Amino acid sequence: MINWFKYSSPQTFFPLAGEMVPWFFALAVAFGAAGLYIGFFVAPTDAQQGEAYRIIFIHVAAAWMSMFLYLVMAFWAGVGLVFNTRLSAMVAQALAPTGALMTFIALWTGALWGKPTWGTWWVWDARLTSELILLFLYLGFIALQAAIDEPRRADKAGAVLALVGAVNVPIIYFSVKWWNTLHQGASVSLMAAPTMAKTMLWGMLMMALAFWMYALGAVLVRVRSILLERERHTDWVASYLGRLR
Amino acid sequence: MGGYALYVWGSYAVTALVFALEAGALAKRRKDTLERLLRLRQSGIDGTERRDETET
Repeated sequence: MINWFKYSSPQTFFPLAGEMVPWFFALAVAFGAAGLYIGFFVAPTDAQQGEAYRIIFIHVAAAWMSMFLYLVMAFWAGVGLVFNTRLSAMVAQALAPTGALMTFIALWTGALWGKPTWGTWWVWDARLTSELILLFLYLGFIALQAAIDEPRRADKAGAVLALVGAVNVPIIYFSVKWWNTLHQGASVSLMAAPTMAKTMLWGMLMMALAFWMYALGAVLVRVRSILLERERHTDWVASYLGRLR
Repeated sequence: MGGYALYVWGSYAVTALVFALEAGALAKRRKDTLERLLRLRQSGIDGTERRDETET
């Protein structure tokens, strides 16, 4: 049995995270290369959208990650709030910037896909608007934490915002079902067969895995900096710094 | 790209740029953090004497 609680202590997590980072980045490159190869050389041209649809490989990956990272962030922020654990709050803090960037990429690529296919960069439909709100939730979380000097209070305030904002994620996901949106419905669902060519689907899944691995690597690098900053008074940081010289 | 080059490459280029900028910012943050903490240690002002350590 692995003692998971052992890894919830900052001094055990810090070196473990450091060892995992190169692996996650290597996996991101490998999945990314496979995804791009399938996306540009194997997947056929779309019958209706021509080559413009190739934006899907990054658009869907970024959009999935933007929602997934928010839920993970809200989860860890909530754990930190309930159990008063330091590491979980720091993980939540480390997730926010990467989540915000994924949201930005989803919105940006969506605009560049919308212009040639819908004839407009932007429309205030439910999917696009709720995704924009997600970006503001991430930015609000980051700004709120940055505005409070005392770290533990910043953790608590941020956690409340993250948890309340989590209600927006199912709204984004189901918006294309609940409302009549310009944005198309889900192409991939756990309940039904995918409505796209197999090679397109594989390219999309590879890119989603690549974005996921990249996000894990980036978040672990960030959380290590946060750990050093916030634990700088502890013996383990002192001995880590001692070993660097 | 069948007339869609601007849209497709515009998407991929900005995505690559965002990842590159984040990676750069993360590396810089790590370097700055380590430099700052090592400086604090050298000048004898290590974390124990700082005021904001209410963490337990």
